[in-house]
Amino acid sequence: MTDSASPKGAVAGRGWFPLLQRVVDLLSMPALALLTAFVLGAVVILITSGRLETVGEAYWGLLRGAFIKQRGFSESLVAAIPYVLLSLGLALGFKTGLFNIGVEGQFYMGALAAAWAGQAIQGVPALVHLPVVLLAGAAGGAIWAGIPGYLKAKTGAHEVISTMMMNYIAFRLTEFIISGPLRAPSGSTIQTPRISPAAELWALWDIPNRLTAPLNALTLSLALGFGAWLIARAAGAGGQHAPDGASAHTGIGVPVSPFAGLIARITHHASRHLALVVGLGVALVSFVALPPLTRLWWPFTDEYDRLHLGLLLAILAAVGVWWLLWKTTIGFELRTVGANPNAARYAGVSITRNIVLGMALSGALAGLAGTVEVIGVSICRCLPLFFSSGYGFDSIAIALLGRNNPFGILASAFLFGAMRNGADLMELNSGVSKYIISLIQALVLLFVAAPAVVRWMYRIKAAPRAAEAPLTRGWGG
Amino acid sequence: MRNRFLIVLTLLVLVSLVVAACAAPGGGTSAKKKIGLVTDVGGVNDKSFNQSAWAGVQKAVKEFGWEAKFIESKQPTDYEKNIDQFATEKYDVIVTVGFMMGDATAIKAKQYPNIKFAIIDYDYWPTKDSQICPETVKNCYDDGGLKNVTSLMFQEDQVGFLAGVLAGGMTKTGTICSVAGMEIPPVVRFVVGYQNGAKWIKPDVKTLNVYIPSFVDTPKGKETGQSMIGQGCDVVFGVGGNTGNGGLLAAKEKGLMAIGVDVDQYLTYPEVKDALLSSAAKNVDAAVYEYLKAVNNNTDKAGVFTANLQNDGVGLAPFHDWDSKIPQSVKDKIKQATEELKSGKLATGYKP
Repeated sequence: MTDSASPKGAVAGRGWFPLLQRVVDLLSMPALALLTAFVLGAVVILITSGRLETVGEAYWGLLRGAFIKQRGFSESLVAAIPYVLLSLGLALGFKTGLFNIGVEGQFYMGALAAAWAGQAIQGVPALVHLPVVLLAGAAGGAIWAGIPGYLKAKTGAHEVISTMMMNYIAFRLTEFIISGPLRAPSGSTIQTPRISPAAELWALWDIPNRLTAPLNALTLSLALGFGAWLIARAAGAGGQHAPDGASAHTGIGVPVSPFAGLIARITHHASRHLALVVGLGVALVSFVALPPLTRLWWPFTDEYDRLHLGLLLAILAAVGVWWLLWKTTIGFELRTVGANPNAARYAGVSITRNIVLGMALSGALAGLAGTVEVIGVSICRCLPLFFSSGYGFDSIAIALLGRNNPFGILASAFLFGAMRNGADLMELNSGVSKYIISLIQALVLLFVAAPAVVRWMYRIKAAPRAAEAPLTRGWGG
Repeated sequence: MRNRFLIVLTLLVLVSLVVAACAAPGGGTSAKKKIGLVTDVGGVNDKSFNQSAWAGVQKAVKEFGWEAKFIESKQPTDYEKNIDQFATEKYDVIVTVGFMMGDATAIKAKQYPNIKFAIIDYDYWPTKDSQICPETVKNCYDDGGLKNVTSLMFQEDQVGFLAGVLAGGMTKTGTICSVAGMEIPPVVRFVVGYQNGAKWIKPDVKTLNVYIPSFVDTPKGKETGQSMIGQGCDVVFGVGGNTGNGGLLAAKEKGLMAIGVDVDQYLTYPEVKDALLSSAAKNVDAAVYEYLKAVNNNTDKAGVFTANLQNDGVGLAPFHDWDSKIPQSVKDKIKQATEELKSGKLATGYKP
């Protein structure tokens, strides 16, 4: 795993080839698992349909629906966005030693909080309203997950049970609130009122139109600047932790100056604040340049394309989680509690605080997923009944497939999103039920969870592993 | 060496499959119309109106030699995507089932003006602040950009009224009740008609009703039914997919009477047939079939098509086992109500 605290972290310092090899090592098992699952899926299709062509039709339909057909690729991304956020939440929980099985409920509570905050305020610009709605959604999920976290920390109630029960409370509570207190007064459909346009997450095709308002342009440029700051900070932090020799390899880290004294100190300061400089620079440049440039040329012209800015949010969330977990003290404490609570307690780390924090952060990400669906995808820009179907449960599989690594999750969430999206066309083209996709996903998960099976199938020797902590409890991975 | 060989072999198999698929002939003749049906979250085997709509499509397809496929929606955010799936595959007619799909159908109908759309249970009216059909237009279909949309509507209040007459005539305790699904217009029409029908035959009847915000929650429906039975109700009308089915189940277990909905539930839900007096059926299959027949004859029109007692689009299902136990006086009253509703002499009391 990419755990830089483990002895393998030093590999990064020895040039590109070992790094490449390590990437191949990391990817080979999921890739083989995927391949095997698809081959077995083909066998099942072949047996059930009795025709070899059906297998081809099915997989071709899947491929075309997920990537090639009009809006296919962007629909795959649309499906992947909530998956990314939810499985990041799960991964964060896993790393803290918590199995937050209640992400579906936190998803609902986030969606509910966002739907409320989106319509409660009217007439404020997106610069204020969008962050407020995102924060409200995150808070909704965080509170909903924080309660089981607190119960676990204080009373030892196992989070698998309590979050699962919180799911049902969340479902019924949203049903009640949607059809009662927060029901849209006009119209006969049972849903919450439409949120203010300022609280909507912009569709990508809509960006040039939105940017004509200077405040909107400011909103986007601040978001981009924040993203740049976060990425620079995460990358830069990597350099600071590594030994001096390695800093030359990090993209943003400044090489150690041969001159002593002042220059060294200036570069040191510059590198310390480099992230801030980069962030401000990106914000400024995008504020000035984006509105006219997008007017001139913009790749997204299809106004029926649903891909929205949540994509940016999902990527930022992945970077943010990675940075938090592996580059900050908070993350270190979370992981320590996850790896060995006793050692953590001995080292003076508060178990209670970290369990509640881990659950709350995990829930915040799940709540964010619900928020994004309400303010970016939902056709009424509101919360209707039956809002989600099993996003949360799919995400458990995605987090495991991505090995609880934020960037692995980006990839596996996209894979699941693409499969979910392509399944419909597969069924249309070949008559193969789309539930075969669930079978393939289950097989992928099985092979990822039991790598020995895949190794045995392909006669691959287990890589000699450096002594990794065997104490990761259960799902810590 | 051996592992490499195996990997290469598997890859080859996969590649050849894809190649075979590319080479496979795509698309049939153009004369054959392609019909797509998008179900609501209930799915195509809901023993109720999604299933009924699909039956109507299948009947038409068989008769006219077309082909048809369906996609089941998992959640409301899927509606647009699923309709789009058919549209980009060049389907000629897309049938969307259910009130919940109103907005998605309208948006896609505007996007694809050359595809015909039929939606069940949703009619478009100019409304304030609507993104679909704002107040500035007079008729959403003619000048609201929905020239390719036909709404298939049902006067549920009429058949609900008849069910109410039956319930009012059969109750021994003087209390009748209904376990209803989501409070959306089709369900409300059923319930209002039911209550007024019961009052028409028995003015002092007591009516109970609970709306449950779900169409899939059988346990909740059953629990609600039991609680209303506890308040003296002895005829339970289940209006709302599986939620309503729970109400029927509650009545059956107590040995009381029940009335089904949408289809003849004596046939689709035999578990409760002992209790079923009848069902308040809306013939979704017939409406869909008639619409597709009109498409075949090129006589289909945009706008609202209403199925009611006059055109046999709604009606009480047969009494089956209860036929001999229902007094002739009640049957006469049902007949009288049917005639008077048809002629307009009697109103169901439902106001939109």
